[in-house]
Amino acid sequence: MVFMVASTALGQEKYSIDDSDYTNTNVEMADQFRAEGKIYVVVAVVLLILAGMFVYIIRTDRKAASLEKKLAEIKGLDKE
Amino acid sequence: MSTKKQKFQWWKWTTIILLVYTIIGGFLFDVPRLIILNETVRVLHFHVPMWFGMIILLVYSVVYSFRYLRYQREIDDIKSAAFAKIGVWFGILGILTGMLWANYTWGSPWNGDPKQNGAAIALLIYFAYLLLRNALEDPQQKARIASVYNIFAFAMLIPLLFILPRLTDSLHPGNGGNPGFNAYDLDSKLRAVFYFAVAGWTMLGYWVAQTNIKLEVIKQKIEDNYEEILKHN
Repeated sequence: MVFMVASTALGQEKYSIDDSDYTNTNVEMADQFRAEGKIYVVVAVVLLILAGMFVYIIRTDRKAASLEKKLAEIKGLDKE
Repeated sequence: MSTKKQKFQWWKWTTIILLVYTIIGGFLFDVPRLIILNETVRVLHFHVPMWFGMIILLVYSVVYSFRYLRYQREIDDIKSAAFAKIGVWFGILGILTGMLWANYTWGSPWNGDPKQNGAAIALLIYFAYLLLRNALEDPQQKARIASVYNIFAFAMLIPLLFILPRLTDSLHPGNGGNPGFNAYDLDSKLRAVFYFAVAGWTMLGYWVAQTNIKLEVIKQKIEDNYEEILKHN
């Protein structure tokens, strides 16, 4: 493992990820943070913002569609 | 233009589902525990799709530029400009997120990495495209010159991002030795989110472009029929 990392550092060969990388507790990750369930707060917040952005873009879409309709009406009336 | 009541297209639902999946999977799924990267490996699902998205949106843009030059239809120029604008937005977000990530993993926001420099130059070329559009008054002249420039800009983008960084050593994956991150695309667990993230973010860009195209077409129609509209009121 250490050898592989070292050889990658020298740019000699690619280091491929395997199962040991998922269990390697020597590498510090946000384990505690996850264990306490706080990651779900982050996910919920980001999802809420994403949902807000989608609502906004859908409303803008609808507004554009209604403007299109209005324009078509004006042109239609003038032709009569 | 259809006058039917606008339906909510399937691909918009797909975009929403893909991005929700990206957020959930990107934050919650297991990731490999790698030195230097640690949890920031998850940035993969947010930073890299900006570049994939930018390229795809700029391909759309250049295709519409070719179409404009061939058929001289105003709508093709409108589409080309809208895709270029959202593509550049993605590029700016890519640069900024990349700088944040590089500061953590490579030690400083700007490392003079060939791919970083190439991306910055490419963005400057596209800024010039947007300025050029604003500088020209005559709509037909604007459309023609912008289309030609856009084709040249795209022809520069490819070597700057995909060829030059490979000729030298780069910190970016796939461009020479990179101790921080060199094999992510070989990992199936990351791939299970990454490809969907690329699709989702790109489709969001496409969506924004479509909305802008719609608004721009309305603007053109108002300008072309100004007298009629005044009479109507």
